[in-house]
Parts: sequence; structure tokens; C-alpha cells
Amino acid sequence: MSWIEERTGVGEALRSLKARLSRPLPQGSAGAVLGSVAIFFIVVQVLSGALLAIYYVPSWNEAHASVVRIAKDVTFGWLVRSVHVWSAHLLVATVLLHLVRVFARGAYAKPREATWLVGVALFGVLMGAAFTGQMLPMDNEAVNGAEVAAAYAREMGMADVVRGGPNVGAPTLTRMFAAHVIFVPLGLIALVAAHLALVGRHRLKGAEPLEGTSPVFLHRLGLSLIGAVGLLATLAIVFPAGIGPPPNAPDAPAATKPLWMFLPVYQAAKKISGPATLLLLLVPPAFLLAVPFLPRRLAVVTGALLLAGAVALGILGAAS
Amino acid sequence: MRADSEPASISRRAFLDRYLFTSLAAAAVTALAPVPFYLRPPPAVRPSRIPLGKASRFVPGKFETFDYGGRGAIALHDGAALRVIDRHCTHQGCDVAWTPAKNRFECPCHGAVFAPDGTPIRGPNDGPLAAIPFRITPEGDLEVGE
Amino acid sequence: MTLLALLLVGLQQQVVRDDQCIKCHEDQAAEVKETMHQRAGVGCVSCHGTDEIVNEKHKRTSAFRPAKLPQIAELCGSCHLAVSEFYWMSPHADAASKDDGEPKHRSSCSACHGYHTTTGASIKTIMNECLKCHEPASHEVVEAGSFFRTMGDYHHALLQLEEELARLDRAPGIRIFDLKGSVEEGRAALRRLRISQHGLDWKRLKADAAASADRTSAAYNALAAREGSFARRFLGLGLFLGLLALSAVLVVRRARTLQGESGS
Repeated sequence: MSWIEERTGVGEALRSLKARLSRPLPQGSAGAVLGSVAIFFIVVQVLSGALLAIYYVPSWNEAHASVVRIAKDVTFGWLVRSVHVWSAHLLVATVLLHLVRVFARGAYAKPREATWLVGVALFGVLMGAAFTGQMLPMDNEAVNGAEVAAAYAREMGMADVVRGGPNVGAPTLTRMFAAHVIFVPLGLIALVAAHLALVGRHRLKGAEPLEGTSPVFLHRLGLSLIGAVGLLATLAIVFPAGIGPPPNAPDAPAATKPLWMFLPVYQAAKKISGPATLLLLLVPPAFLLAVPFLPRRLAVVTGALLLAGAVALGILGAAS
Repeated sequence: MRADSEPASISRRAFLDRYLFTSLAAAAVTALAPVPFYLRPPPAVRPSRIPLGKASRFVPGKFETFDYGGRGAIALHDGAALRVIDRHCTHQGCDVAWTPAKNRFECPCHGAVFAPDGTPIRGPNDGPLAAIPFRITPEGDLEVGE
Repeated sequence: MTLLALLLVGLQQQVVRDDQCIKCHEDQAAEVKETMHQRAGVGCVSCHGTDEIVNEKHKRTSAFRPAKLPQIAELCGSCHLAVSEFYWMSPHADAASKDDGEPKHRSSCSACHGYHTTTGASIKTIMNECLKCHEPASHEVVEAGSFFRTMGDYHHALLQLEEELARLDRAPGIRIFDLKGSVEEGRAALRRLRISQHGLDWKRLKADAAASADRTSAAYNALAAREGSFARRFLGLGLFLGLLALSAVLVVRRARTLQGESGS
């Protein structure tokens, strides 16, 4: 071991990391593990996604068949796929909780504005990951989802970029695949690194005056990760991801719904069309980016209203 | 802040730590155990019979390459008989090229040469090129495969 | 009158000729209605011809009235080639060739399949027909009954297999692609058996049917085994969760130990 230590200094790096994670925490920071749990889910996604990419075929005609092959024919393919699907849902849920928590504690205020903005960018990339990933299995919902995205893009004059051509087709899938497998991971790595560096620099809100070491965070982190893994494994094994019908199949469902995190936009889009749909897409990110620069009261009230509205729309969308 | 100089608590902590490490390691191994099995591909679908049209069109000199279950193959008439050969070189698997002018197979990778029926003539090889079973139906159609 | 109209619509290919027959022979026409023959465009003229009837105004001809049984088998066999091959190898053909009017020697196609109704013969129909000439305890009837039971089981197994494959078509974790071909193979084997059974070689027929039934059962059992193996995934989950729970307990104890030491 000392041979490795002399040459790589791994042990020292690990000890330094442990020291950083052993800083004392302020009061009421039980939820400080959320961000770390989110990073764990991102790692799970990258690993399970890499395994899926071994068998997935990003071709308009073969994609669905390759997903069926993974789910049915490949040994433990159903498990890798189920883990990837469930971890995606858990990741978005964790990130949303993390976002709401940071917002509620006002932990985006000076000097942490940059951390918040990087976090918002991270959130956007994750939404992009969810959307592009949803198209890859090429089932009915996938193709319709791509059409809807192209419609939003058209309002911004970027329809070509999303579609890869005059219509949604094979080039669209290729783009979604490249985005999901290359650009999203690159973006995530860069943004997560920046986000962690900033968090480390400023520490958690309220923790600045505290000194010394405390194992509390490590223990909480350990238990949270164990819980997260347990939850993920249980969901993936008890409820394995199903196989949707291919596009144009006779048993295609009458209503195509997007993933749950996009349901508010989906529900609102039922009443709006044309350029007004851009508002649906741009208002939430605009608000999030503006938050550190708004007076606290205004931010909280607007944020609460937007959140309540989104939840309400989401529930309506799910029930419809 | 912490005065942990008591031997009893250190060894207890080390004891717990070792068990914790083992338990976590076991969980990690369980979680990652499926991966090597996942990497092995499922059994391939056996190629079904491939029709190649009328057998009579394979006159001496006529040849046609085709895909046999994802592998390169060729049907040819070498002047003596109709042959259906798998084009995987028995050396290291490159696609051998059929050279009509010399009436033989020539592998572009390391220069192995095979006769029209697959028999090795010279060059590095591990036996003759595989012959693919075929039959001619009563109607005169050539069908390749089991 | 509606009957006539329907028949005219059905017998499109022979409208010019068959309708003349139908004008008088309504009973026979009613029997042909809704049969496979009618759907395939086989009408009066296909079997009875035209010249004698039309030109000679129903002068009794040697063709089919009364029926010469070997001629019936030849006529049916002119389209149903494969069945005919087997039939001519069978004792039934020997008996029918005697053509001596004896009831026991009327073993031609029409005996089981009728003249105009030409139904596919169900197992029950066949066995009933057998009993019209053969003793119930006779060797032939016993053998035939045994074969038909095997066929029935085989057909049932094939239907079960098909149902299972359809049910598991989109179920994750259960491989079926290598078994899908079994259904087509099974149906082809069934068709071959239905043809070759006209040869009455019961021993061979039973062996063939049993072999096909075995293959089908093997496929069905393979499916069941795969479902079982997939269901055992909960054991793996249980083991994994157990290890996680153990780790969690150890973390908590570690936390408590450290807390006890430092009083923090």
C-alpha cells in the first residue's frame, strides 16, 4: 500500500476529502445530504447508461427492437434498464427537493449566487437529459414528445436544430442520442465540478463560524446513500421497467403523456398554442435565474405560487 | 475536540469499522455481480434459409456474395460445381476476396490463398474455408442454410 | 330467391354455368353454400363437368351418379395432392377400389367429408364414421382413437404455448425470441399430421404426433422455467437489502460510539 501511496498520494487525497466532509454542520441541516444523494444518482445513471449503450441501437428503425432485446433477451438487461429508468425519476425528485430546500433556506444569497446559478444550469441539463433519454426507446410517447419539443423550438426559430431536418425522423433520434450520451454527461461533469467547488468554498449557510471536525455529516450521508440504494433496488426489482408499444402499433394509447416532471407544461399546453407556448417554457428558468437578485419576500411569494401552480397543473395532467 | 485516547473505544471503533467496510463491500459486490453476465451477449438467432433465386443462373464464372446471418458468404460456380462458401478466413477472420481471374480466394490481410472449394493453397490458415449447406428445390431454386 | 342471389354472388367464377344447375338443384346448392369450396371458387362445374349435362339434358352419365368411389378419390385428389398420396397407400383405398357396392367398401373421401357439404372432419366426426364400418373394440378403432387423443393433446399444448408467448410478449426479463419459431413449426407439423393421417399408418402417426407434442411441451416448460427464474429476483433483492440494513445498523452504532466518546 505504501508503494501506491508514495507514487500516487491516493491515501492523502482520501483523507483530505474525509476531512472536508467532516466539517461541523449548522442547525437544521438534516437535508444537507440531498445534493450528495443527487450526485450519487447521477453516477448511477452514468454507469447504467454506459451499460445500456452496449446494446442500444440509435437507429430510427431498430431502436425499439434493441430496447426490447435489452429488456427481454440480455442477461440482467431488465435490471440495468429498470435501474436506469427508476434512478432517473429519483434523481429528478431529489434535485427538486434539493432546489426547494435551498430556496426555502435562502441559501442562494450572497456570497452563494454563483453556486445557485450553476445549480440552475445543472437543473436545466438534467431536464434535457430526461427529455432526450425519453425519446431513445422510440415508443409512441417518444416520437410524440420529440414533435412537441420541435414545436417549442420552432417558436424560438430553432426547430431545425432539434429535429435535424425538416421533419422529426432518423436525424432527430441521432441528435437526441448524441445529446443524451455525450453532451449531457460532459455538461454534468463540468457543472457538478463547479457546483461542488463553490459549495466547498463557501460551505453551507450558517456553517461558516463553526470549526473543528464532526462525523455527523458523514454518518448522515452514509445512511442516506444506503437508503437511496435500497429504495432504488427495491423499485427496480419489484417494478421492472415495462416495454411500450412501438410507434404506429395498434395498441398505442390514446393520450400520449410526457414524463411526470413535464406534466405541468403538458397540461398548460392544452389551453395555449402559438408563440404563447414559449412563455410556458421560459418563465420557470427565467424566474430561477432571477431569484438571487430579487428581494426575498418577492422571491418567496412568486416561487411559492409557481410551485403550487406547477403541482396543481401536474396533478391535473396526471389525472386527465 | 474529541479525546479518543482510550484503547477500548479505539478498538471497538476499528472493530465496527471493519465490519462496516465488509458489509458495504459485500453489498457493492452483490450490486455489481450482474455486470459480467450482462456483458455476455444472448445466443444469436440461427440464420434461416436464404433463397438465392434460380440455381441455373450460376454458370461457370458467375458468383454472388451475400450476407449469411451477419457473416460474409459467397455462392459461385468454379467450372466444376456450384459452391457456397463462408468468406471468413480461417487465419484471423478477415473477409477473403474471390478473384475470378485466378479462380481462387485471396485474403487481403496476410495473403492466404484458398481453392474454389475452400481448400487452403498457401499462406497462414487454420483449415479450409467453411462450406455452407445448401439445397436446390424441385423447382430449381437455390436455398442456402439448414 | 335470396338464396339464389347469394349463390350467384358466391359462385362468381362459374356464374355463367353453375346458375343453370342451381335453378333446379337447390338442395345441393344449399349444401355447397358457405363451404371452403365455394370460397375457393369450386362450384358445380368443377366436379360434375358441363358437356354431358348441358348438352344431353341431364342424360344419366357414368360420372358420379351413382358414384364410382375410386373416381371420387381421383377427382378430389386432383387438387388435394398430398392427402391423395397418403390415401392411396391406405387400406381404405384398397377397399374402395373393389367398388363392389358393399357398404364396408365405401371408404372414399365422401364417406367422412360428404359430397357437397365437404366439411373438414372433426375428430368426433371421424370416430363416428369409423364406427359405421369398424367394430368399436377392433384394432383399427383403438389405434385410431389413441392417435386422435394424442393429436388432441398436441393441439391443446400448441394453443397453450401460443397463449403463453402472447402473454409474455412484452414482459421484461423473460426471453422468448428463441421459442417463437416453435409455434410455426408446431402448426406446420400439425398440418403435416392432418395430411398424413389419411395413410392410416397409426404407429408412425402416433410416433410423429408424440414427438411434436414433446417439442411443444419442451418449449412450454422452458417458458415456465424462465418465468420462475425471473420470479426469484426477489431473493436477490432480499439479500441485498439485508446487507444494506446491516450496513445501516453498523453506521448508526459507529455514530453512537463516536457520540459517546465525544459527548457531541
